[in-house]
Amino acid sequence: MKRFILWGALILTTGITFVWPLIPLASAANRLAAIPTASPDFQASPLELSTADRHFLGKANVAHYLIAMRGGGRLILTVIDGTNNRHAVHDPNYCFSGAGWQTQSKTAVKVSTGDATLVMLAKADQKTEALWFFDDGSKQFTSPVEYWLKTSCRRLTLGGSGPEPVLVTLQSLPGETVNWDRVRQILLPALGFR
Amino acid sequence: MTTNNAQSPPARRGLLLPMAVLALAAWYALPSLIDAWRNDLYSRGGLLAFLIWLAPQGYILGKSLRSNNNASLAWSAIALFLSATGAMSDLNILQQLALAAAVPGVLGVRWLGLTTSAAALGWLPSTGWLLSHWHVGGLCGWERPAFAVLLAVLLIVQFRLVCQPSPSPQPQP
Repeated sequence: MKRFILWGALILTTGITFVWPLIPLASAANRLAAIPTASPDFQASPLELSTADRHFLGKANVAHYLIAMRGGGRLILTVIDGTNNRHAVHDPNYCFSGAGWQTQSKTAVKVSTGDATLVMLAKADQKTEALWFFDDGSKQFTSPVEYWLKTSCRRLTLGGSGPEPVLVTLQSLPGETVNWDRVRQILLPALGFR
Repeated sequence: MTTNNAQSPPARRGLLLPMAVLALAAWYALPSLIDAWRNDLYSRGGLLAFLIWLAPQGYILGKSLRSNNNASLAWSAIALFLSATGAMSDLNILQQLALAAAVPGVLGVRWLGLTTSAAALGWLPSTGWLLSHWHVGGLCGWERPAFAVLLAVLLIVQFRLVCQPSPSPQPQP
């Protein structure tokens, strides 16, 4: 009897594992498209993704801009929506560490409606700074586990548990300094993360 | 232990279900595993660790087949559950754990399955994420295989101490 039940479960699982990923989910593409490219506070120019990045990101939606802040300071903004390829979104600390960057300092900072992480990175004689967070459309958070839970629940419930969180990364250009307080207080709300 | 090493037809049929579960789990887990082992600096050596992890399982399977051990349906059920949830939630780790749980189902071991599944830590890419909090720049490539060898030895010792089948009673004249 147990075997019959298990054979049934095997057939059911085979069907589910095949069909479930084919059911489309509402993506965060609209939120990415709504990111403004100009405002009194900044000017954004689209950047091309490298071939390697395009290959890695696959079907994920990506917004990739060079941001020039009014009054000085340039940043690279990358927003990744993993609705169609969740594995394109990683814990940024893991990516930095895997790429050989040594985290010199890591600070939890407040943004409009949540938290972000500001990291100072060094590799050989290079130095850079980055601010990153996940954004679900209503709040910002930094826990990769929370991201995995939210995105997994969303897939289990076919989108019923809420909108897809996106990963937002702002990175300074090598050798340039950025006023991160202005980024948090002025740039992020102007970009729509509020 | 029986003198005839060949499997009887009912025992062969008994392995069909856990083998099918193992095939399904492997189908879903292996692409993400291979991708991680090839590209993730914290998964270096993962393929070798996986092969080392398989070696004692082959040894245990050989012993199980000779003693006509029944397959463990509980482990196959766990593997199916993990596989289904992994596919529905798109979490690779659940599908990889399903593979780790499907193997004891075939081996016909029960509590020892906890050890074989735990030994999967040697090749699971997710353990690299935990390691990245303490170690920058990825692994050199020897760490995972070395850990897998240690776990393989422990597994065989545990199997020989705890799970060796008792000899079959001698037939009465």
